Amino acid sequence: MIYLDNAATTSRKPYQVTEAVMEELYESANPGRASHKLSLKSFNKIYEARESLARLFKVNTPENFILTPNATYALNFAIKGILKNNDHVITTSMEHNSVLRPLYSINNLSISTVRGNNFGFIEPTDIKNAIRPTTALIIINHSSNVNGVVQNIDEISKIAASYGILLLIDASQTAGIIDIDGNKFDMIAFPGHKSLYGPQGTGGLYVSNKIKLRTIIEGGTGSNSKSRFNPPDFPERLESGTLNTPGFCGLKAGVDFVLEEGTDNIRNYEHRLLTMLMDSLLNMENLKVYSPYNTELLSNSLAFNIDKLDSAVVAAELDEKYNICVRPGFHCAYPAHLTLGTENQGAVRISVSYFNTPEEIRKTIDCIYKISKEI
Amino acid sequence: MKYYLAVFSSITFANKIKKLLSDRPGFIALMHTPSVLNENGCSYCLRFREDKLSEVKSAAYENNIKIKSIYLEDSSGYKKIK
Repeated sequence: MIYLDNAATTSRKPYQVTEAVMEELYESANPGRASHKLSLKSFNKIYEARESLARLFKVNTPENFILTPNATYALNFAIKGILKNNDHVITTSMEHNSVLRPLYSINNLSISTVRGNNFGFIEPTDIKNAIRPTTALIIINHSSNVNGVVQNIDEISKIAASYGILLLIDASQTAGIIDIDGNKFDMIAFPGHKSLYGPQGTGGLYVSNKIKLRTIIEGGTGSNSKSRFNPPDFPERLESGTLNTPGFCGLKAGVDFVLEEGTDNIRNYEHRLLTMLMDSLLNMENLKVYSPYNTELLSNSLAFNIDKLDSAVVAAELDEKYNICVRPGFHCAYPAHLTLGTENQGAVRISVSYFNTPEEIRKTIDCIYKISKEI
Repeated sequence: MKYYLAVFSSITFANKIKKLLSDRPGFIALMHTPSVLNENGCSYCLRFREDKLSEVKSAAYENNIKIKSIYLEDSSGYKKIK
């Protein structure tokens, strides 16, 4: 089996991740709900996960990492915790439904959608030109989950800061692949189970100190029990209920793996694999690639179609005949497909990880070539 | 031996101070704040020897963490000093 659907979740994890999960499952307690030894042991493991995340994002406030079940929850916490009726928000045509659906659930929200170019790149000045006096938030996908293009978030951060507007980064496709300096951004949502190599059911939201998010989930936090409201301090304010302690122990091991290997090494390796793919796919007849050739402009994905074949058919052929796992369809980001011109076929997405090999990529290229010749 | 209790607004902050001071000699324990002292329900505090008070206060100050209240524990109970 060749797994190339790592933008959805990484299938292969470092062995340390499995070990950390198993160790916590073997002897676990509820973190932050008691002060006995086992509870504190679990609590400290959770805190160490926050510390590892703080190292990864280069900030010195581990408590500002809100742990969530995935990036979608993190984005919901940020969007619904900031925006209110009649606010204006700026977002882009390359966003995932985990941004779009929360936005459209808010009554009377004014939404400006900045359109990307043919590859989906957003021009920062277009963000600037969309700003209004009522703009409360700018949301941008650091890298598209459809074709992998990486946006210029540093430039957009400068624009947002110059206007005093909050900026939310969706780092679902970049956390663990591209260095992100958390000090430059107000909020960063990220999954734990993709390129941070944690288990599914893990993710998080980094929130800078200047922001006090409204809660959208309330409940037990192990503190202020007499109050009918969640406490004001991070992370407890946004972490009601028992956390996925085994999962976040695994996430810590995954983040430590990324820190040890180095995001530059990980990214360079993955780009070598993407370049192998690009060099071959661009030379095949009947095949159109929707990602730029320069893989420096990508995270870990590229998208393509074979002639007029529906992307689902290509993915099914790769799976059934050759045991290669890729993702077809619209990737929960239909506006991105409108931008790329793939709204009818969808697109076949290949997304690599640090655990894929050049041999796997060579075999995948051969199989795509065979399918393209069979039509 | 007399002890102080320093009460924090969250277990995260209490634990952060404990970790910062864990390599120093002396007894520092993280515990549930005694119910009789709780104004808002459950909270967490650090319990430490009286000679550790300045270390706890300066660690909290340096890390921008607010100590909600400080109590002196003796044989007669708790006396609020902050």
